[in-house]
Amino acid sequence: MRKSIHNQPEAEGEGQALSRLLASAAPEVPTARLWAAISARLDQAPPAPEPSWWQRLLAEVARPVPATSLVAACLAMGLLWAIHEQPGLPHVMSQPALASAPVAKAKPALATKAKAPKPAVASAAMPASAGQAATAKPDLAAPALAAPAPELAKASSLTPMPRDLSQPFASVQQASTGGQRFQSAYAPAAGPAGAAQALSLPAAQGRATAAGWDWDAFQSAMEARNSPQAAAELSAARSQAASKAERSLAASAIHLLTQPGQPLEGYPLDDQGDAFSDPKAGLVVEQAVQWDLNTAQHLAGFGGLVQARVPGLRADGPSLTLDWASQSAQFGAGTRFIRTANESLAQVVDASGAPVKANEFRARDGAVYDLAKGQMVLH
Amino acid sequence: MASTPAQQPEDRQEAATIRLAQAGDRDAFEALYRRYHREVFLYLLSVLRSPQSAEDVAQDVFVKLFHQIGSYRQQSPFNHWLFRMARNAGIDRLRRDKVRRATSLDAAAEDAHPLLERLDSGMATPEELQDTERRAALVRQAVAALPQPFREIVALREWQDLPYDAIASRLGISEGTVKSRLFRARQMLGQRLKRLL
Repeated sequence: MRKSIHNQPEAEGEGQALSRLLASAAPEVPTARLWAAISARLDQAPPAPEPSWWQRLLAEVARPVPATSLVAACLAMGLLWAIHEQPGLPHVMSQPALASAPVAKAKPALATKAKAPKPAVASAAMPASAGQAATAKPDLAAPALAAPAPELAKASSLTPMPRDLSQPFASVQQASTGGQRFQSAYAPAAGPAGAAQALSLPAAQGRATAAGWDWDAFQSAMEARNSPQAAAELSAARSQAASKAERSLAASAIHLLTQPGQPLEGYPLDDQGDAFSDPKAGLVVEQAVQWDLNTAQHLAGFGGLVQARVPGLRADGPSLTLDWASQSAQFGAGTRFIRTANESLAQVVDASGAPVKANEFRARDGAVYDLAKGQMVLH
Repeated sequence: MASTPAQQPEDRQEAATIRLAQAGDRDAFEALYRRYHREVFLYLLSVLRSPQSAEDVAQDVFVKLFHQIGSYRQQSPFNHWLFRMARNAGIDRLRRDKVRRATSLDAAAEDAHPLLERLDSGMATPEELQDTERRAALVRQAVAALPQPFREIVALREWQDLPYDAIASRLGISEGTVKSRLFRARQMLGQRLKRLL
């Protein structure tokens, strides 16, 4: 049967034309650039192998769970059990309409009684059964790609990030006490895949002010699930914001939000061009499981498997905090850096100010990248 | 499937190069890089669809090869061994990327060839060049839009000109599957690129 498929007579001329067309479109291979980057890394000791998935899982399981989380989990489970056993009420755990009335009733109770480190986000983001797990393991809660929950915009607006940059991203979240916060995962639903075809962005409302770029318009657009407006705001910020850190933030947000399944998917905004060969280029976060924007504090926090680039370096680490008040980016402890093709653009020094020559290195206690100077300082 | 290496003069030469590279000879390693980097890069590009990711992973693959080439025991052809390494690295990268990049293949040429370099080629007028580039970009977009199994076959066959049996052994599928996938890929491309043919 298969043989008959590819033995079908193909129009000779058309087949050859297609072959020629394909051959003419072969992508170019960056031979010299790639070799330059490889040969620069050959003298380095082989990197320690990354922990496998089961090693990471074991480490996660072995991590001590805070007592408050355990108490919160018990309370939540007890509450759910009570609802479940209540005569006259539908069985929330077994009803198909999980997200309807019973859970809606359960949510406020969870949020107020279960005082987990970040109950508002975790419990509001998930239905009951998932909410228990989220309460028990606060750091793993609030997955970035989860379906957005309408309540979350309100919930998240109660938890800002603190200004203390010495804290890692996870504790930044846990220590939140009031103010405004925005999380990409809970903002507009994914746009239609064909949005790009009919791209006609409205005028941007945000503009440069004396205190930096006005991000409120972007935030409002995201909260209102107005994808075209959000795209317009980010596009304007990327090109018009005065500070490199704010342009970096806009570029990162564009990159993250235009990924498949994200709110701005299909908007052809993610054009980094040759940004990394420009010594004046900033930073771009290419991947993050979760990220928060705190416009009041001039901070953006990226968590999870964070992958970022600065000219001459790429970084993989647990967290990154971008601070556009001080024009700096703080990489979390254990971030791994690798010099890339334009390595000469990366100035790296250790805490004492001595230059770091290695082509691949790890920042054991984190690192701070000065966007203005283009300098990375390892701690 | 393991063939006896070092039977043909080319194979003998490659075996000698591999032995030198195993002994730490940098020039020999560079010779291996020159021979295989295109194949590795284009394959990774077909998997990852992002030139930057393909470059990053190709970099990692060759650095890993440099450190691990001593463990190559010549039980299978070297290119299969290297290709497995590249394939695993590409798949690892895909798995790790919770958020996959959707950058299309048409950025590849732009990354690899800055505009000035392309204009300096002297082979075409700017208008012709623009037209050629546009056509090439459309073709690369059409290839990038193919499902993964078809995309990698097209990259291996049409861009690297590998024979069917080599593609089959590298991907661990039968030659018939290679042919049928290529046939279907060409059908899909033919439909999408009809106006360019």
